Amino acid sequence: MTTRLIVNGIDKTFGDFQALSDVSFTIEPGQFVTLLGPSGCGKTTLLRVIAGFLEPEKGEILFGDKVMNDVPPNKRNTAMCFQSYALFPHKTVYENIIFGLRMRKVSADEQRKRVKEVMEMVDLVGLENRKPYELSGGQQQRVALARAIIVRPEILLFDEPLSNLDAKLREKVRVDIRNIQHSLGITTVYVTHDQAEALAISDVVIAMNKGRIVQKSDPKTIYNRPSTKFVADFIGSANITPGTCTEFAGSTAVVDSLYGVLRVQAADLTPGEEAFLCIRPEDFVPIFAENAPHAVNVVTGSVLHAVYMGNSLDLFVKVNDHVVRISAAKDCPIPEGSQISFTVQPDKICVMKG
Amino acid sequence: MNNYHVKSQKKLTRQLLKILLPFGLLSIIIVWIGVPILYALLWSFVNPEFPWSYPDPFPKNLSLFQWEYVFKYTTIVKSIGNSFLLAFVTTIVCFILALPTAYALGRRKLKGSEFFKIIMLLPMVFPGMAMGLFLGRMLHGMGVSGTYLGVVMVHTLVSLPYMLRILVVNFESMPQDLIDAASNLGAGNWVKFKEVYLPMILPGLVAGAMFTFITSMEEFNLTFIVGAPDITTIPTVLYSYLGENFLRTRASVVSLILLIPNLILLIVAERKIKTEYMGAALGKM
Amino acid sequence: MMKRRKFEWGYLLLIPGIGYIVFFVIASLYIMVAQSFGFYNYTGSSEFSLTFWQNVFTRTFFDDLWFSFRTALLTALVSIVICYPLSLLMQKIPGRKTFLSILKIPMFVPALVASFLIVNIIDYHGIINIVLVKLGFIEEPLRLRNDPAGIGALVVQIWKNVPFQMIIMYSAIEAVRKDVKDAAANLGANRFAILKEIILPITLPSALVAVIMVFIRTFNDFAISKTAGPYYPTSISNLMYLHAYTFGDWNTSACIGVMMMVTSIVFVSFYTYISKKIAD
Ligand SMILES: Nc1ncnc2c1ncn2[C@@H]1O[C@H](COP(=O)(O)OP(=O)(O)OP(=O)(O)O)[C@@H](O)[C@H]1O
Ligand SMILES: [Mg+2]
Repeated sequence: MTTRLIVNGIDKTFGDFQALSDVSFTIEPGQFVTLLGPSGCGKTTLLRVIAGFLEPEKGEILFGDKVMNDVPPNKRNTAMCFQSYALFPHKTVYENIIFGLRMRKVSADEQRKRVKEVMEMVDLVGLENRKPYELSGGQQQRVALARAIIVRPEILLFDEPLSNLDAKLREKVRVDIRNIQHSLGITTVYVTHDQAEALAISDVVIAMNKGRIVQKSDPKTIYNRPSTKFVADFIGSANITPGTCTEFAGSTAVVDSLYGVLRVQAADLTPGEEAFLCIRPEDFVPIFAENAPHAVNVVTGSVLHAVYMGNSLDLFVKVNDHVVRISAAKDCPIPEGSQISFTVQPDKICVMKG
Repeated sequence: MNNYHVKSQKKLTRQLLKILLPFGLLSIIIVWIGVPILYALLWSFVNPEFPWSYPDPFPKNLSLFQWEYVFKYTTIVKSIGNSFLLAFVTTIVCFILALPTAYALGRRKLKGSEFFKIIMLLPMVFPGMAMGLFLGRMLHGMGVSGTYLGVVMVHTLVSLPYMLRILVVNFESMPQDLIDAASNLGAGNWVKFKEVYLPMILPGLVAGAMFTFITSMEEFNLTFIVGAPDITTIPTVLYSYLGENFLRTRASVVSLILLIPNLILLIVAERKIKTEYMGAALGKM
Repeated sequence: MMKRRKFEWGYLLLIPGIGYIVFFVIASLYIMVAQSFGFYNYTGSSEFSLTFWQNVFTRTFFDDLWFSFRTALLTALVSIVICYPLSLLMQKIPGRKTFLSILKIPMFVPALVASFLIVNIIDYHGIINIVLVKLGFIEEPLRLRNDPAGIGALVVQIWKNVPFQMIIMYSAIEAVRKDVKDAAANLGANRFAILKEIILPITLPSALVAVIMVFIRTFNDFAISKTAGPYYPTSISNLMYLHAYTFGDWNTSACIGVMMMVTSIVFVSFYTYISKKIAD
């Protein structure tokens, strides 16, 4: 049984501070949705409202077609992995993990089976009888994760469940989470600060800012077609420039920007209209003598820094007194201080109205 | 619809309970604490010429006779003075004695500090009467029995665990980062003490002082034996009124007089000390 | 080459606090134990003797010991039975800070004043008796003060000790982190399960301490049972006092003191052991 989660017009205030304003979205049954947003934007608050720990002033939470507002947390059949772990300090790792199963009166055999499975998944085998204070931060986090996952509820809520794990383990566990979630079809809301993680595992990414939802799209769209400057800037790195449309014909606009005049593929822009352009660093391609004649949107500047990133070489180029970031091939032979020209395809430029 | 109805009714019940519960509790508390005090107040105004006795629910005649008598003809005022003086001096002595020890136990990682933390609670568990009798004879031998010095010594002994305990907890809970940061920024020992430690032990000091003050004001067994016959304090005076020459009306007056300073202390404590602090300090013993 | 371990100067800092306590406690203990075996007498001969120990275990001794023990145990248990639910209830209600302040009053009332205040209420013509007679529950006023069963002393002790335990329990329960309770609710625990699985076990150590502290305070009491308790049996502290001052028999008094300490220690160890067993 998988459940659709509907969040409808939620307002939540603390004193006179508005933590959530008019938050609405729908998550289809079995979808994996990531909440992304700066610290303090209300992600944890939203999860707490969904789980039922906080009562919103306005709006509704629906699981399927049931309104959940008056249902207490213990009857909601969600499982949350807390940002603060919230482990039971007096219980052992094992007792912590089986708590949800005990409350649901799952048979002892089934309990043992599932514990074994989930302990292996989060790599905790051997620590069953420790108390939380005898664990490292990362181990505690894995107990919190295991405690939530093992329940197999209708809706899983993860609040930065992997933030304290090393890169290797994080990658493994997140694939495991995704597999379990997928095979059981559990509707999942996942909060993370790691944008790569968000893009890699989500069906849908929701970007939040200051208690509001800014954009809800699949990972590709949110990365390539951010709807606002905030989203473009927050997810990945972006070169953002204001611009004024000078011509519009067919589906191509000519925009006068800080980087010069650029041809942009756009659905609707009227001459004289102002907008922002977003260009991802990897969409800029350096040009050398051989491919120069065919290029459109050529921009020229001098390289301020070249930063080796491992899988790419990032160049910070001064163009008309503005710094542009370009991801070049990692073995690209461009020294700092040299002049460079580069180009961007019109369809790779995203137009944002706000 | 029906479902909605049930829900709203449930909500109503809960809200009603939320209002009724505090009132219920308040009335119980008022009966529990207010009635004994009011009853004593009533007794203190009974006119000795018209005694208040069994089936009358209220006294027949009221007068200020006992109040006047107590202030005119007894040593109560002196005893109150004694109690406050002793409590004050005891608190200061406790602080001076406890400060270095609490610092060592709370901040230095001494071997066996857990053991010392248990040892320091001994006066709280040692039977007061036993300590009074046998220590009392030793103090008598030292010639301090019946003097302020002797009484301060024993009051210090029974109050010191509270001050120590609270200060140790306080020192332990100071973040080492903060102290390191101060050193790192070039603070010397004196500056570190004045600017870092002192402000941070202030809440502990206030709570500790509160406890030693009350413990000293309350102390009966040891004062009764070591202070006798010259040093009388609030509890020993009251004992004499409750003991051999028990006179209810007079005892009422004395009780009420003795209640006042402690209630003032409570009000001060309420404003200065968080319950959590007291609880933590007590609960960890 | 081995370096000699540096002397830890921190130990010197222990002298004012720990030293003071150890000196006087050891001194009391030493005098008490020595006197119980006939040494250290102020008058007469001082020599080793077991006669005091042979004669201490009288009927009166056991009655008084049992009285003090029973009063202490009942006070501690009844108080915690009152305090724990009350502390739980107080967590939620509005104005709880004010309630707590009012509840704290008895803690600040000197023991003897407390004793007197309660004695007033439960006395032959106290308000309780008057109300009970007026309501027709009883014909004649009950004797509650200095009653042979020691109910008067018990009531005074409970009155005085409830706030003390309240402070400990209230802050212990308050200190249970909200997100831990939330986590339990989230995993399907109802209110009762949260209480049983989370709050009770986490606050158990504090309850343990609260009970022990009240037990010891009450067990060592002299003044309250002297004023509100029965004429016989009396408290064990009173028996000690009686032997020392009224009979001038310091040696027997010392034996009683030693027994008192032994009882305390045995009880506290036993109680701690049992509670640990139950907790696991
Ligand atoms: N109980 C509370 N009382 C008052 N303000 C609160 C409370 N809880 C959260 N807030 C405020 O609400 C805002 C949103 O908090 P929230 O914890 O949801 O942020 P977040 O998006 O989870 O941040 P982070 O990524 O740092 O975890 C913050 O500004 C926070 O200060
Ligand atoms: Mg958060």
